[in-house]
Amino acid sequence: MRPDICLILEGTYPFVSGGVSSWVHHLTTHLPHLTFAVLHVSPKRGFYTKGPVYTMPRNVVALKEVYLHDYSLLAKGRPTDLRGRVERFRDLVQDMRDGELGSFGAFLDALQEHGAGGFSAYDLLQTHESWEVLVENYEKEASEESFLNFFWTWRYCYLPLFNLLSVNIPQAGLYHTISTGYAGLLAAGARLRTGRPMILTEHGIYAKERRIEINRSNWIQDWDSGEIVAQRTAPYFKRYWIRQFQMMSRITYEHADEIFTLYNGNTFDQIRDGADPRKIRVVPNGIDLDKFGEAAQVFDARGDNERFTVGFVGRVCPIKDIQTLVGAMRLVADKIPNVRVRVLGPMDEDPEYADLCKRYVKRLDLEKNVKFEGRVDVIQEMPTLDVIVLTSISEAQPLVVLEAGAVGLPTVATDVGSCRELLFGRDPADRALGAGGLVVPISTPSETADAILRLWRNKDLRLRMGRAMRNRVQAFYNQRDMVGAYDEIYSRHVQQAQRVI
Amino acid sequence: MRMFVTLLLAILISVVEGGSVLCAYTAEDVAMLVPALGLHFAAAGISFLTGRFRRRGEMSPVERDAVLWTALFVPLFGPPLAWAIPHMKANKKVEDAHQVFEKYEEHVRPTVPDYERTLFIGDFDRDLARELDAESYYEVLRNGNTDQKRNALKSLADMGEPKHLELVRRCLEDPEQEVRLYAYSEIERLGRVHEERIEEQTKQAEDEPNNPEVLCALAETYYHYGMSGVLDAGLSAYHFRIAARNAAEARVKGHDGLGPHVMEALSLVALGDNDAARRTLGGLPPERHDDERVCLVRARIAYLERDFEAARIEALTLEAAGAELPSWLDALRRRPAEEPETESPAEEPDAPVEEPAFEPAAEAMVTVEEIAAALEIQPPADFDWTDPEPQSTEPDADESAAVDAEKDEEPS
Repeated sequence: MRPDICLILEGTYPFVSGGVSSWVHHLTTHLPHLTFAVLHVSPKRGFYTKGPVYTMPRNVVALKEVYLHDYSLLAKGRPTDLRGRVERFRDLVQDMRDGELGSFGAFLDALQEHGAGGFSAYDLLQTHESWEVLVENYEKEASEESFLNFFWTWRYCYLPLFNLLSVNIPQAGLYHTISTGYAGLLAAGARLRTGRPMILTEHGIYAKERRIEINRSNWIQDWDSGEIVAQRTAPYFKRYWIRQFQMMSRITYEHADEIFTLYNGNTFDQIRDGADPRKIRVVPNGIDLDKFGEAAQVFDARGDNERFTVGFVGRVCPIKDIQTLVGAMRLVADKIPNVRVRVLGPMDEDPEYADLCKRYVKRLDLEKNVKFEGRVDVIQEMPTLDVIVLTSISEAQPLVVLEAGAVGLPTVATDVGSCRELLFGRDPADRALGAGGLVVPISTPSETADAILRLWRNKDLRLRMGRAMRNRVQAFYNQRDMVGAYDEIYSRHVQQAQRVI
Repeated sequence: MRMFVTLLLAILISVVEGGSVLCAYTAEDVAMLVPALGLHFAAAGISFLTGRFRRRGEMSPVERDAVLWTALFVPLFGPPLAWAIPHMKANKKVEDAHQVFEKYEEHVRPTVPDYERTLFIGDFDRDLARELDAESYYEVLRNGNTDQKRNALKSLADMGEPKHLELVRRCLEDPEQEVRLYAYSEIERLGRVHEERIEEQTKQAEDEPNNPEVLCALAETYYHYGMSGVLDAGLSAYHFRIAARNAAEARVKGHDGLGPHVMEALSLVALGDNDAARRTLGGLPPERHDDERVCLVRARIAYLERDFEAARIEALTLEAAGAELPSWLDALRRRPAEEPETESPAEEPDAPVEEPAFEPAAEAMVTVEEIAAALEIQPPADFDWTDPEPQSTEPDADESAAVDAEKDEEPS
């Protein structure tokens, strides 16, 4: 049975819990009249030891994993026209280097001609012909770098691509990828091979996130590390990897029929990275207003808390920067000695970081104030809070801000992702509803504390902001609207595909 | 005559055009491009009118076309040039900053003696040799691209002086999200080192709660973390309070050295309580009042209170005892003594007040002239260390405003 939609994912649903996974799960669950297949790009076989962490709905009819680093470098006999196929590989490499997009399709054909297995990883990287391509590229752009490093970078760059693009892609009416990168490249390949439409939804901007990660890393060779010299550019191998990911994004954008994102801020990055602005549309996240409506009633009926209660809702992991939250609460506790801080969220994603945060709480003498409560029922616990604080260093469109708003809680959030847009509004009609919280820079405990204290001192301001946010969420962030938008998008493409057949 | 008029007009158009390019080149912001654009259009207008004033039939088709095309293309190319030139200028400034730094590294740094790291860069202690490092980075952080900013942040963090980390902290509010994250990474990296040390010593203090040496060492670690520039003002103050508390506890537990007094006094000074710091030092036995570390704390208090003469006297005391002075104090020492105020006849209102000339000792500091000569450049004259106007990041939700204010709020 051919599914209507093939979801092509990387490092998310159904193996990793988080915002993107929840979004996918929600979408598939609330569109029961459509069938989905999930094609998941994993690092290697057995990587996700726990298996799926979501119980997939019945309309998800297939789950297949593609492994980036699962390849055999054994010779399988020399394919016909090896030189011709390696030439197409050479053209792809040159395009990736020069920022061109023309050779991708031809390379894809080279992999698929004469059936899968006609062109192996061995042919790509262990033959005399492919060695010539490697040496030629080394001499052209990296002759001052270590050849050994170039060789291994080259290998780990292209072997996963080979694996990915050699996969037999399930037939579907529409391909939908939730990121660029490897999943996006696979989706672009599906588009070219099957002729079926492909759409992209970006939560975060994959290429930008990889760029930041690579630039912050210390595991990629950086010859100048340790020297106090202001370099004009990043070290070579970091630039190499960044360029690869940028090209993967560009290829995805080029072949996508439509591109969606959650908020306006992302569109600038997408256009800058090569997306056609005419393809881009914003479809924001949404939440279940019925469920949170009940929580809002509980919140409204609630009297004042005996202790001013600050809540953090989310995973305890480095990207949430709990340490800044704890530092801010130290300063708040100097003014409100009995302030209560509830950290509500799973701590098993990064146990070392969770332990670090607990030790930091102890060091700042906040054990009587701060409690790590683990995974909770958010709908039940949110009405007991007075304000939500989000100190993340990076976000896309955090659901917790919308959920807090639906309940009637203001949020103090760092100025990342769409937080400013969520709290202050994205267009004049939205802004007219008023501010739903306060925005502070990242990693600034003092400013975060000031914002929290401001809301503590002024109950009226707190309530007004909570009401403004509730109105905003009801008007613009209803889950039904989000699901409805994708229902229309899917149906349109699937019906077109059926007409073609 | 016709040729002469044509030549005059061509010169006029060139001058006007040159004027617009000059305006564009010296423009600091977009608003100052308006005169440049105006001059472009003026040049186009003159060019067009040149053709109009010629009598019909006298102008050849080639001349006519040349005039018309010039009139069309000057406005088309002018605005893009006017936009591009300031950007190229900004990039050139970044390049210049890199080149200044590289020349400094090659020519001047090998000749400059090591000087003690210090927090204090007084107005009169503008050591351009060190400022040049931060200055070139400051230009990069203002005008560089993301890669350049990232590398500059790493270098500033590696240099590690509080003044440099202040620049890193400012980048937590950079318009580019990537730059903010790089700034965060550098601060987080440095903070981890301090946190690990504090954890280690806290554990030691828990294991040996009555050991005053351990408490004093912990106080010192808290103090240095607060001074490091890694923490923001609020958390720094918290760490100074804990440092003062640990130092006081070390004294109570019988530490007989100067350490706890000095550490407590320094922490109190950092918290802005100079009087309490003086009282802490006053609690020392009289024979310890002239100890080197105590003199340094008193000098620091005097310096912060702008009593430079008192600081200078402390410096002389230290010098007499053979102590090595930090550079900021050494510079104070070299100032001529201020004349005591005496009763004098009323001065004429127009009499100019002469500032004593500041002449640093040649071996202590590299002078501006020496650096300029070594680098064969002039240091930028318009460098400004003052903070830009703080940008409001939150709506103006004034507590006294009525509910209507909520509807009128505009996010910044």
